[in-house]
Parts: sequence; structure tokens; C-alpha cells
Amino acid sequence: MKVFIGKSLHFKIVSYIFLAAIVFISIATFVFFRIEIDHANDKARTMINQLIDTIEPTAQIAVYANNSQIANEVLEGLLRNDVVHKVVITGDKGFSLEKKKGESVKDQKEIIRELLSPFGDKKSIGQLSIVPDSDFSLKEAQYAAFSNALNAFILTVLTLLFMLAVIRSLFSEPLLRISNTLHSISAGEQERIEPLENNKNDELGRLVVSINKILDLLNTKLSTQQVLRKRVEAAEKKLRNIFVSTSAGLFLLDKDGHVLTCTPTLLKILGFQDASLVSINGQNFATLFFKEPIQFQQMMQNALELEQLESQDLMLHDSIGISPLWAHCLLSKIVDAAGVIRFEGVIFDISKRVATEKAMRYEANHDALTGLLRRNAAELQLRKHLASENSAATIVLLLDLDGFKKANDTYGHDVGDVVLIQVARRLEACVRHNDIVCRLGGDEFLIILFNCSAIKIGFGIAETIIASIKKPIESDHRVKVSIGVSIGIALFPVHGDNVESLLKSADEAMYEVKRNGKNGYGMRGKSGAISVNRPSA
Amino acid sequence: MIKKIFTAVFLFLFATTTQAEIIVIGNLKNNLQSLNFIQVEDIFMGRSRSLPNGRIALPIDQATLRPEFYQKLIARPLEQINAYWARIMFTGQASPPTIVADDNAVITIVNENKDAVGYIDRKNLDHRVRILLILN
Repeated sequence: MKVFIGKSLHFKIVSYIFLAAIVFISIATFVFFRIEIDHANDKARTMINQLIDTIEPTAQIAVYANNSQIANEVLEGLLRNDVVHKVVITGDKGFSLEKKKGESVKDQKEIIRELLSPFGDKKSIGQLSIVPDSDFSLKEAQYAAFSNALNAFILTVLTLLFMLAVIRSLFSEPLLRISNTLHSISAGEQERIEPLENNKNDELGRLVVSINKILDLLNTKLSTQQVLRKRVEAAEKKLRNIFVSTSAGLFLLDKDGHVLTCTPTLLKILGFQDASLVSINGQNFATLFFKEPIQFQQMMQNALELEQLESQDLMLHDSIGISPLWAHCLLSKIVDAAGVIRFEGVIFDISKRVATEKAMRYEANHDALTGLLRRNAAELQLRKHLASENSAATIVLLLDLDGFKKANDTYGHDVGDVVLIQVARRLEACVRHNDIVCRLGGDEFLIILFNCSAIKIGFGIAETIIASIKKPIESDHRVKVSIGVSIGIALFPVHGDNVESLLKSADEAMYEVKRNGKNGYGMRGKSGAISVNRPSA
Repeated sequence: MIKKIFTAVFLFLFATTTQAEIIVIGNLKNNLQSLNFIQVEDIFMGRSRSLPNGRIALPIDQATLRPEFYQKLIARPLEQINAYWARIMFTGQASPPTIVADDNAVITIVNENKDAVGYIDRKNLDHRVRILLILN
């Protein structure tokens, strides 16, 4: 059956009906056989009764006359019939004769006929008993059932063959034609299914009409949709251009700070050379890019809790190189319709701005010639330091070069500048790493010494400076310049508890040194008088 | 017409008045005193070969009263009786009773044979035989 099933619809239908018919025929044959076997049994009994009717007078005479010869003839005559299995004839005067043939399959109910006297008035003289042959009934029933089944089977097969042809021509073939036509039609084409000639008014005909209607409708809808799609595509292209070419790096993070999506620009800002080759989706945004991830994480925390736009300048990870990379980052929380929390943000490259700002700040705070801090910056640092907790034991040295004006006037400004630069370098070399050297202007310098546990350290440094400056300075012009320095020292908080008073005290001490022969250092003592020390003298 | 009716009535009266009274007779020397209808039937139809006292019976038929006898005994026409015997004789296992001419012949045979049983018209009865059964 598997060969048929699956081939085509009409074979399938007919196969299923055939299977069902086989089952029905089997059941019907079984039932029919049961009925037929009863019928055959009845028939056998009727036949036997008729046989008895035929031989009854002879049997009566045989019993009446106790004639075994006649009785024997009667029994043999009866046994010649297929329907008879066993015959017994008995008489009331002790006469008895029995004959049978073959083996009976199963017990059959015997048929008994009382034999009356042929002369007396209904006086019983014996009986004739016949056992029917069960094989006879069985064969009869089997034959009837078999012929019935064969009949049904042949009729079924013939009917099914006819059905196969009819279904094929009326149903399967038109359907196949429709199917093939539909298969070859592409969406949006103008082609339609041809109406079926034999099925104009039936279901298949209506199907064809309906399909053609749907094709028409599809055509219309498709063309409408194409127009709409082109519009959408154009709009999307515009948006995509904006998204891709924007100078702002846009990004979307999930609640835990992992990247969901970002623009190519973002990757460029963040330092990837070929943005198209990198995918950072799913990575932690903060640790991936920022030098101080905690700053960005704090921004996220703030955005989450305060529900406002957070903005901050952040230094990027890979900026330990030539010039530091800086980015301005805007971050805000968004909650979508489903209640999922995300972060959206924008990053602008502000490295240039930060670099410019830094340069400007540096220029404002440092002396252009020597590179030392300017007065304002130095005073600001001193003020900050004095206000801090470890302000004790801070020493201020105010320096004024001796003989610089003369050298400047003698050799020119160029040599003066060289001298100033050289002095600055020497001063820096004389102080400790953390101490500040600053040019107050002209040939005046200020040195701030932090954390000097003893005043001697200050004096030692002053002496070192004096010794260092005393050495001749060589300019490019093969000119040797010899100058000196006068140093005024002030001690915090002994000589003043603020910048002004400290500087004033140091200034006074420095002038005292000038008056006392220069090239030395001086400081106001406890008595109020300024003691001057000139180590080289 | 009247003559016809008269003839019919006459025939009817004659027939009834000429009905003979048949008696079954036996030998005086036999101790058999009487027989009943069934015993007589069995003996004459060959069903039973012996008398109730166990002796082999010798039934004697007679041509004159034969139809009347069988009519009275078993209510069957003579043709049926003959057919019956024809069938029995064919087997060779038995034969019908011997047929003699009339009452006198019957009386003579019965008188001579101790086991003989015959039948006669009652008006011909004499002292040589014994009445075993009166058929009526």
C-alpha cells in the first residue's frame, strides 16, 4: 500500500477506501458466515426431515416386520445423502440397527422420528434417528460466505477503479493544473489561472475564480507596498547617514553597563583605527575605554538615582601616549515600555580642547623664559599649602641676583636671558624634589621649602644656592658672567602666618643682606634684628 | 329416478344384512383359550411367529373372507396388505400365511394342526374347532 500512498491525491483516497472496504468485507463475511452456518443447519434439518418423509413407510414396514434386510436398505439409502452422518433405527420388539460414515467434526443434534405401525392407528412401534453431517453445514456456510466475500471484493475493486478514474479526471488533474500554474506564477505578475472547462460551476471552478481574485489583490497590494518600501528605504538611508556620519559617538548600554549598540564614530573617537572591523557589543563600556572606570560608573549610578542628564570630561584608557585623549560624555537613563532600564549616551572628542586648555593654563602659570612658576601661581600654591594640615615648618626664600643688571647692560639681553635660564636650572638643582622654585619677575626668585624639620635645612640650601650661583655662567658667546645672590629667609609660622607677612619678612631680610655686602642670606632673629650670614666672605 | 333410489336403498339394506360375523378359530388340542386383536394382527401380519403360549403359530388365510377379515382386523384394503407382503417376500426373510379356499378348508386344516389359527364365518362354526376371538 505504501507504493500508492503519497503518490497523488486520488490514489490516496482510493487506497484508504480500499483499506476500509477490506475491513468492512472481512467483518461482513464473518457475520455472514455465522448467519449462514445457522441457515445451513436449518437447511440440513429440513433436508433430513424430507428424506425421512420419503423412506418412512419402508422404515415402518421394516420395524413392523422386524425385517433387518429392509432396515439395512433404508439406512444405506439414507447414508448416501451428504447431509446424513449417522442413522439409527430401533423397534419396540428389541430391533436395533445403526450405520454411520466418516468422522463428524462436532456434535450435531440428532433428528428423531417416531415410526408408527403401518396398520395400527398411530401406534408407535419404534423410532428412526438421524445425526446430520456437520461438515455439510460447514461447507455450505463456507461456500456461501466465500462467494459473498468474493462478490463484494470484486464489486469493490471494480467500483474503486472506476472511482479512481473519475476522481482523477474530475478532481486531481484539474487541481494539479491549478497547482502547476500557481507554482509558475511569481508574486506581482499579471499571469492568471485559466478557467477549467469541465469544472466551471463546481468547487474547483469557484476556487480558480477566487485564486485569480486573490492574485489581483496581491498585485495591487504589492505595488502599493513597493512604493511604500522605497519611501521607507529612502528615509532609513537618510537616518543611517546621519547615524553613521555624526561627529558624536552614540551608544546604548544595558543596566549593568554592557554595550548594546554604538555608532562607528564612537569607535573612532575611542581610538579604533578601522571601526567596521570591531565589535564591542556586550563588553563593559566603563572598563573598556576609560582610564578611571570608577568615574563612569559613578555617572551611571547618578543617572540611575537622580534621573538626570549626567555630563563629565573623562580621560580615555589608551591615552598614556603622546597627547592624552579626552572625551566629553553625556549619559542618561531610559526606561522603555517594557520597563527595561538602559543607558544612552553621547561622547564627543575633546582631546584638542583639553590639550589647548592645558597649554594655556601652563602658559599662564609658568614663566615663558625659564619655565619656572609665575608669582601668582606660586603664591596660590603657598597659600594652599599654608591652609593645609601639614603647613608647619615651611620656609620661604626670597632671592635677588647680585650683579645681574650690570651683566645685562654689559653683554646684552641675550646673555641676560641665558643667565636667567641658567640660574633657574641651578636653583632647581639645589632644592629638593618637592620644593617650589618660582620667578617673581626680573632677577627676583622665590623658593618654597616644604616640611623642613629644622631651620638648618633652609640655611644649608641657602648656602648651596649661594655657592652654586657664584660659579661663572657661560653663554653661547663665550662670555663668562659672574653674579651673586642675596637671600632673605622667612619661617612659617614664626615670621608670619600668611603669605603676605612671610614675603614681607623675607623681603626685609633680603634687603638687609644687600645692605651688608650681598652674596649671603639673612633672617630676622628672635630679638627682631636681622642676622646676615655671608658664607663666602 | 324413483327406480334408482329404490335400487340404492335395496343395495344398502342387502349389504348390511349380508355382513358376516367373522370368528378366529384354533385347534382344540392347543391349550390356547383366546387371542386379542393385537395378537391376531401380529400373527397374521408376520410380526410375531409364535403364539402367546410360545408355540410356533401357523396362520391360515382364506380366499372367501379375506378382504372382510383384514378390513375388520386392521382397517386396510387388501391391496395394501398384498403390497406389504410383496415387499416382505422380496427379502426372503418371511412369507404370508397360506391361503385356502373357504371356511370348510380352514376348519379342516385347523382341526388337523395343533398350532393352526384361522378365521371363518360364525354360521359355519362346528365343534371341531375352538373360538379364539370374535371380530366385529
